[in-house]
Amino acid sequence: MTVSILELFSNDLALNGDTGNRRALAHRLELAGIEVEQRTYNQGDALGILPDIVVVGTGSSSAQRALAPEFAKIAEQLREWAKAGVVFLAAGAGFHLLGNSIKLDADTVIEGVGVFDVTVDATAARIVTEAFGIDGQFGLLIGTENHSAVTTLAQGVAPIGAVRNGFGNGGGLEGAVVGNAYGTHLHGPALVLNPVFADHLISLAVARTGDTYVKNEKHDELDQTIDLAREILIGKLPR
Amino acid sequence: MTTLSKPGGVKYVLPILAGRAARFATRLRGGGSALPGVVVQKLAPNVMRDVAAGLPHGVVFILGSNGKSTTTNIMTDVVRAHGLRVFTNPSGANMPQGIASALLKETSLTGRLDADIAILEIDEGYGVVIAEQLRPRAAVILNLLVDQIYRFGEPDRVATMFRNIAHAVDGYVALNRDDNFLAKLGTELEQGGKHRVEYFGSTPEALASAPHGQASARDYSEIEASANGAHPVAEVVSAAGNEAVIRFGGVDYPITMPSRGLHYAVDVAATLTLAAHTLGERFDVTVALKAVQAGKTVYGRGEIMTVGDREVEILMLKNLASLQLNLDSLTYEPDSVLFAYDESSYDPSWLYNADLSKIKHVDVISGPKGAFVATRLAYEGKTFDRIIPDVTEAVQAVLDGPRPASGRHTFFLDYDQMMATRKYLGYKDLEAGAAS
Repeated sequence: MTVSILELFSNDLALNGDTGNRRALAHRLELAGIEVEQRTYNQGDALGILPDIVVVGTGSSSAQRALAPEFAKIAEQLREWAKAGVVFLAAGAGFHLLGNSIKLDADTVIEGVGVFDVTVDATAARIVTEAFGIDGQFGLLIGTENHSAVTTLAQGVAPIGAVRNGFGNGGGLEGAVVGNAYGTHLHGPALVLNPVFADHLISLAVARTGDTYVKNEKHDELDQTIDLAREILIGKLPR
Repeated sequence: MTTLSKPGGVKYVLPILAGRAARFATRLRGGGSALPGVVVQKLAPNVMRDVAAGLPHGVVFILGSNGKSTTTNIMTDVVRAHGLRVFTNPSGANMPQGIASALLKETSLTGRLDADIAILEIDEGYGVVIAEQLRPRAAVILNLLVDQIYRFGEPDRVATMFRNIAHAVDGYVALNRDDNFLAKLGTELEQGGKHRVEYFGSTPEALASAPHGQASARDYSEIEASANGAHPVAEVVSAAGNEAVIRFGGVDYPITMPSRGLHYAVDVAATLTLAAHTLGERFDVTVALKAVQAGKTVYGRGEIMTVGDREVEILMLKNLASLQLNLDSLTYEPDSVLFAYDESSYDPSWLYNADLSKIKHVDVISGPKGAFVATRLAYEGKTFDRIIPDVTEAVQAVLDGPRPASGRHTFFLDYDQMMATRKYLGYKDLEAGAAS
C-alpha cells in the first residue's frame, strides 16, 4: 500500500520551514520501505482523494486572515476526514485555522474549520521561545515557538503535553489532540526534531493502510544526527 | 565639490574626545566598535544630526532584507567615481551605535565630517530612530524577504518598519517593483504626495531565469502594485553567472559583475536608480558601470580567496533567500563543501524550505549549531563526512584534505562563522567595506 501525505497551503503556511514535517514523515516511511505519495493543496487546486495524513503549517496573521475563506471552502471535507481517522499534524497558524475561531484583533474574529475544539485569541504579546520543551506521552518534545496566541481547549479536549519551558497554549499546557488530529505551536519543524512524535503519527497512518512500519539501522543513523540537534536545544532548557 | 561641512563648533570637542578615548579603550580590549558611539550620544545627542546636516549632498539610506552591504559598497564606488567624497559605514555596522561610532571616527573635533555625502546601510529595526537623527534625503529599499522571523515575528512587521522609515525620508525613495510588498508601498507613497518615487526591477525573462526568482515574501494586502513600476529607471534584462545586461535610459548595457547572480544584478540596478537621482546632472551611466565592474565584492559575499594551491569561495547563508539565491547562482557543481551555522542564528527551521539540489555532498559541517544543518541533510538523504563545531578547525581540516578536482572549496557560512573564517585565513580587513 501507499501512504499518502497531503500538505495544505504549502505556498502560504510554511513560514518556519513547515514543509519539513511532510519531508520527515515521508523520509521515515521510505526508509522503512513503505511507498509514499506526497501531495500539496494550494488555492485553486482540487483537494483530491482521501489522504492518510494531512499536514499544515505556520504562517503570518495576514496569511491567516487571507486564507480563512479558503479554509471555509474545504472545512466540511476536512472535518469528515478527521472523523474518519485521517491523521492530522497542524502547527501554528494551521493549528489555529483548524480550531473553532481566531480573534485577530479587537474587531475581527474569524471562523475556523472546527477539527479542533479550541478557541484562539491571537491578540496576545508575541512569545518567542528558542528551546520550547513539552513533557508528555512522547517523552520530551523539543523545538521552538514563535506566536502571539492564547489557545483555550474546550472541556474534554486533551493537550499534547505539559509545557516544561515556554508558553504553549498558555496556562501550562501545549497543543490539542482530537482523535488522530494533533495541533501544536511547536516548530523546528516539529516532526523533524521529534522522531518519537513522527513515528507515533506514522503508526496511526499505517494502521489505516495496513502497512507495517519497521525501523532499521538507517533510522538509527538518522536519529543519532537528530539527537545532536536536539541536544543543542535541550542544553538551553532551564535546569 | 569641495564645500567644507558646516562646523558644529566647540561644543563637540569634549564629546568627540571622550568618544575617541572610548574607541581607543575598546580597541585595546579587542572588543566591538559600538561603545564609542554610545559615549558620544550620551554627551552630545545632537552630534549626529548636526554632522549629517553639514553634508552638501546629505545622507542616503540603503535598506532591505538582503543586499544592504553589497549595494552600499556599489553605490559608494559609483559616487566616488563621480568625484564626490563619500562617508560610509563598515559593512554590517548598521545599527545606531555602530553608525555613530563610524561617524565619530571620521569627524573632526569641531564636528566636521570631511565628506560630500553619507551612504549608509541601515538596519530595518532601527531605521526610524536613525532617520530622525540623520534626516536622509533619499533611500533605496531593495527587497522584503522572509528574514529573522525569530526577531521580527512575521514579514508584515518588517513591511511596517519600511513604511515608517520611508515616511521619515525627506524627498526620494527608490523601490524594487518586483517585490510583493515594495511595489504596494510605492502606490501608498505616490498617493501620499510627499515623496518622489522611482523604481528598479528585472524583466520577467530575467526573473524566470533564476530558479527561485527573488524569493520575495508574500503580501496579502489588497493594495494594487504601483502602475509606475512598469517604467523602471534601471532594469535587469538578463543575469547569468557574472554576466548581466542592465537597461538604463532605453539602452542595454552588458556588464561583467564582480559577483554572480540575479540578486547582484538587481543591486546594481538599484544603485543606478539611486545614483542617477542623487548625482543629478553629474550622473554618467558609463562612469557608473565602469565603477560597478571594477568594484570588489563585500567580504564574505561571493568573495573568492586564494589559499595555497586552492581557491576558497565564501557564500553567506543568513536566511532562506541568501542561501537559495547563492545556490541558484552557482555556475559550477561544488565538489568540496563546508557548511557552518551560528549560535546567534536562532531557529533554523527555514533550512527545510531551501532547495539543496545543487549540493550533492558536504565535506564538513561546522559552527555551534552545525547539527541542525547535518539533520537537514540527513532528511534529504544527502551525505556529509564530519561535524567539527569549531570553524577554524573545520576550515583547517578542509584545507588539509585533498585538493578538489575543481581546485575550489565552497564555504557556506553564517555571519559569525564567516568573520572567524576570514580572520583565520589571514584576512584582517574587517573594518573596511570591501574585500581586499
